[in-house]
Amino acid sequence: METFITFLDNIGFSILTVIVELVFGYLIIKNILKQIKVLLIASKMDNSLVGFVVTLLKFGMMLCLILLCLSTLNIPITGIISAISAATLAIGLALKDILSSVANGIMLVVNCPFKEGDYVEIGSVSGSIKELKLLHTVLTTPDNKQVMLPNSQVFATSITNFSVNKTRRMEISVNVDYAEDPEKVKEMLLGVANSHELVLQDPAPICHYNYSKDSSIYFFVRVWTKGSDYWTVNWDLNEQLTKTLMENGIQIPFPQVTVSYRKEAGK
Amino acid sequence: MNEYLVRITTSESFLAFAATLIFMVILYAIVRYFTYRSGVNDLLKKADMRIVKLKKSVRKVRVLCTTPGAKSFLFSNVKNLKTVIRRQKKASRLLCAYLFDDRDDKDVAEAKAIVDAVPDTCRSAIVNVAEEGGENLNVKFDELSSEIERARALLIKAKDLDRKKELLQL
Repeated sequence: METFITFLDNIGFSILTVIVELVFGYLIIKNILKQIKVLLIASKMDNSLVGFVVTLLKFGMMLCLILLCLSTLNIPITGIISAISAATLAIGLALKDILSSVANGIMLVVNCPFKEGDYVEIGSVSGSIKELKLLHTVLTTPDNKQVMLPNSQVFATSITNFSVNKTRRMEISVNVDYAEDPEKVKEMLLGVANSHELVLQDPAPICHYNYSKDSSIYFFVRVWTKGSDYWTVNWDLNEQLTKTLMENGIQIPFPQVTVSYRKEAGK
Repeated sequence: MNEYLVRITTSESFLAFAATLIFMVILYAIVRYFTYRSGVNDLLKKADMRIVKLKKSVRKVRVLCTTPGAKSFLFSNVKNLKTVIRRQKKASRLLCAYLFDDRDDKDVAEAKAIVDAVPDTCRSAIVNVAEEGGENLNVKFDELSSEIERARALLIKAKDLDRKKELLQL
């Protein structure tokens, strides 16, 4: 009995204390994390970032719980903290590229240069944003290929977002023979542009021309349309403009070269 | 025996153990209380309870909008609208959290869309009263009530499906 009481006094109750701390500590951490998760979701934080923050907090809280249990058992934790710091440094150096991608991923989520569904051009890759993960950004190209770009690359290059503004301007160029009446052609082209139902009237379509080309008068038509209608208007207008010019007998020239021979004396 | 008991209960380590146990139990009880209040353990049930409260607030808005001389109650009605918005946000938050873990649940997504539309309907009714528009607000509020009931039915259906899934996993 004496031995048992001595055991309890020396270490028994400490072990029981540690068990209580572990059990209740784990349950408390679990409940707190559930609440934090709901708060983060309600704050409209990005889903991938919510998961990351919750995992990070869980890891941190569990580490604190373990250190508390160790200190209850009178185990010196200074050495352990130093070892953990050294290990963290070594892991950080070894995984610096991955961590760089994670950090860039967080910066992308915080700065929001684009969101899911936006059509973007990142470097030489174009596509719709399918998902923004911590390590990668996933794009779906127009021909339905999936491209996964490392976030470090995304953050380091220029990003062109075609979806952020609701309207876009397009320019269609047409070349016409020098023999044609430019004002008549201009009126024709503007008529076609104004008659398309998807072309916006504010700003109104414009058409101008110049004589900068070798073989033709260069016309350009600028129209504004909704971003979602861009390609429909582009293809329609190209077809309709060409058709209108041909129906009205307007000559569309091809490059021509005039060759002249010079006779040399005596030959 | 008594001597041993006295020795154990007066030892420092026992007192530390007892203090830790009491502290942990109290802390756990506090955390559990807040978890219960926020409804994170049973999101759909708590969301349903909040939708019931939302319906009560909508009823208050309806009463003040359809009373003769409703324009004179505009100030009170704006306060009721703030309550509607607050309760809608609380319900929406829980449904958002549920959808975070289960994105494909169409029933809950539809219920959330219905709940999110409630403040706009109440707002337009109050504006109608303020501008003395001739719209029949009783019909509008009847539709809104039936939509809220539909949202509740969808949540109950989602909850039953979750229970069945849990049973199948066992």
